[in-house]
Amino acid sequence: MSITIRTARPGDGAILNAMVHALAVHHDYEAYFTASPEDYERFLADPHAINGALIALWNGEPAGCATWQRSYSTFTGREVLYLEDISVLAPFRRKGIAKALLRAVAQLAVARQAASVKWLMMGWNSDARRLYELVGATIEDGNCFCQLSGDALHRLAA
Amino acid sequence: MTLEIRPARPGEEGLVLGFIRKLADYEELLHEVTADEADLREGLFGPAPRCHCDLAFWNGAPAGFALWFYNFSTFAGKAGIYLEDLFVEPGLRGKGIGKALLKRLARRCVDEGLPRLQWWVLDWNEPSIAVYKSLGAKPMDAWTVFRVSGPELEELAT
Repeated sequence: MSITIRTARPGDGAILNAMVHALAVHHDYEAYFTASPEDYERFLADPHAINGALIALWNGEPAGCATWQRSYSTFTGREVLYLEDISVLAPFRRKGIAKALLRAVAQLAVARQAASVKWLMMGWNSDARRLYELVGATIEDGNCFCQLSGDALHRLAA
Repeated sequence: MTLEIRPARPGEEGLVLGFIRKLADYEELLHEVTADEADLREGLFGPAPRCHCDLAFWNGAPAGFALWFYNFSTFAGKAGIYLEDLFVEPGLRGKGIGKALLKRLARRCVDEGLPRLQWWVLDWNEPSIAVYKSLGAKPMDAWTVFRVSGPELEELAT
């Protein structure tokens, strides 16, 4: 019984798409999920992509993934690695896969000389919160995340 | 009374850093700013730029800035724009400069087919939150930010 983590590569679009879709369903965000495997193949094939993914294998079988993107802190003048998704498929939970993915993301951040790793969590997700605190993450209180999209985005752009 | 907005140019790192420090001071986070002009030169104008900056001038005088970079939504399968910093000189507020900087980014999103413009605001910053809501931005209340950095990042990476 072993966990291996590898960098996602061209051809992994379908499995990544399926794993992130499972995460969207779990978060009740399926209505907002419109990505296709081709969208993933595009950045997997792009040598200048600002984002990427890691795949966790359980005994060689795809079991979970972490998707990340490059971010930047003007306060430190350095890269921040932003963790967009961490997904573990239901049959593979409670085997330490999420923690192994978080460790691999931290290793990637250190290799890229990023000052920190940052991510968002839905407020209700207490299982995930316990894991994040266990790995040494701190919660940044006092922030409010804003988004402009759809009609409002077009109205402001006009 | 004229407002001009244009991309920052090499040599203007000092002006950009000055705005970053003023914003940090307003946020009571000046002690966290460690970036210097060389860091910003690398981030904005280096061989692999990580971020972009728009500068606003009111009657020719530097009035504010927006510092942003591209991000990627794995749910939408598309890139978007993330606004890291937005600042207008206190003496020049109320002239629509902040809105003009946001509008320019919204315009860029629409022109480039990007579905979202996103940013963070400190939750005590009511004046800014009121402006953002008036523009149609939605606060994403259910999300909590986590960060791992420094010794905890090194430890997780090992």
